[in-house]
Amino acid sequence: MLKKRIIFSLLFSEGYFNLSRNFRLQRIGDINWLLNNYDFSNVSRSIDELIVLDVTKGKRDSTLFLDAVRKISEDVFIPISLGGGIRNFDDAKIFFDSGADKIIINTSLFDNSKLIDDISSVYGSQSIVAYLDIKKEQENFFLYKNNGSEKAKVKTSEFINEIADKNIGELVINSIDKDGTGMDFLYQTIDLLPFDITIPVLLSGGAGNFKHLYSALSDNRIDAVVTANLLNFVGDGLVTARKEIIGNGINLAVWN
Amino acid sequence: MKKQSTAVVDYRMGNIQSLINALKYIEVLPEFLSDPRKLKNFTHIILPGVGSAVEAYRRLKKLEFIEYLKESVYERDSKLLGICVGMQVLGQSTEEDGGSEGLNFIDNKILKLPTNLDQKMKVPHVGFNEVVKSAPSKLLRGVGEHADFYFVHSYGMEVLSKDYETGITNYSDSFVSVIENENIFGTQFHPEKSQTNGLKLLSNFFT
Repeated sequence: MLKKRIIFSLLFSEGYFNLSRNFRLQRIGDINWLLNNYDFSNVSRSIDELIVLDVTKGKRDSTLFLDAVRKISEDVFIPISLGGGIRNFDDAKIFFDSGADKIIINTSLFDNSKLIDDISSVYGSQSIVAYLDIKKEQENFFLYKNNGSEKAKVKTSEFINEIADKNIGELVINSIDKDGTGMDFLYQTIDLLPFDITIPVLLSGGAGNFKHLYSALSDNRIDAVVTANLLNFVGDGLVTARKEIIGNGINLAVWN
Repeated sequence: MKKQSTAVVDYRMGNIQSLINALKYIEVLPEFLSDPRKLKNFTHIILPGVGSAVEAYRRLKKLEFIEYLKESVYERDSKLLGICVGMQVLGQSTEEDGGSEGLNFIDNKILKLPTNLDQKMKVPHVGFNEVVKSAPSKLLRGVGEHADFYFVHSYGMEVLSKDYETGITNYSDSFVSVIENENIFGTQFHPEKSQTNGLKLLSNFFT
């Protein structure tokens, strides 16, 4: 039986790691801050996977981004997913060559869905993570692309059904409204998924404390939780959260 | 005692940077080796691999690694560790993509993992899963009788219930996840992606 997962997500933009709140970024520190002051290698010992996203608004500098990724991965021994600005096969290849186990796609899901097949035919469907940014407006849910800046012209449920059937390994559902608030996940977004989905579903946006992580992981539709908040689980916050979650009967991996 | 030296076979079967990082972390500085004639200089050999075992064996053959690997293992008593597809090619054969023979260091065949969609058990098998120690093991020393490691694969080694099958994993069906036959070692999972359990296992290979 596969284990459930706690995934940490690092948001990189123009040389800095950021907090994000409803997709507005706040610079926290550079790679030296992350590795030395924040002691990220140590934090990484309490998570199952790492996501690093280049969330630069406008033109991205992939050299800067991948340099930071390379430094992080020297001391981090878990699978790493990279995303941000993948528009064609070569973009994806550079990320794989830089050590990505999986790549994350958002905008291209809408603009160039053929890319999924191009990538999966070479790297396998397990290496593709579809990332959906969802915004609630009144009682309706809409999908967004380009870093949450642009509403996609698709029918939400229909589109999610289509994506779930493509050659992808897993699906992230991220709530733009809850992003960075620490006020718990938006569980309604899970209801948008097809009930017979067979790929793992990762829930993102709003985790503020261990109880949020625990509740989401208790949901049998959720395989993993994602948190991007650098400050919510500082010090031994994640160590404690992980212990509590395992102690409460969630099937997470145990490392000795 | 002769100082140990480590080669990572470089046969272009996937990214090996994370393996190198993990080895550095446990203070092993490996050499990448694409010339099989130099294998004789190494006490420890690591055969990595991601992707297709058929392609892996084809490349080993093309680069003339087969006979030199056998010589190192049988005549020089070098320690060999196959990881993921690198473990699969240690077996007798694989049924992947029309089939291929293997290095035949052990009798086991490599078979397609069964799917069980009712239990969300899709192939490939991706994620942390449990390895159950099934025989006395050097590699699993210090990680417990049940230990979690990171897997990414669609084919697995059949269980023949031999003493060298030291770790078994269940995913729809059981497959061999760790082998240790004298100086021949293999893990179906990726120790370099398996947190402290993986680092411990790699250290165990060198002690």
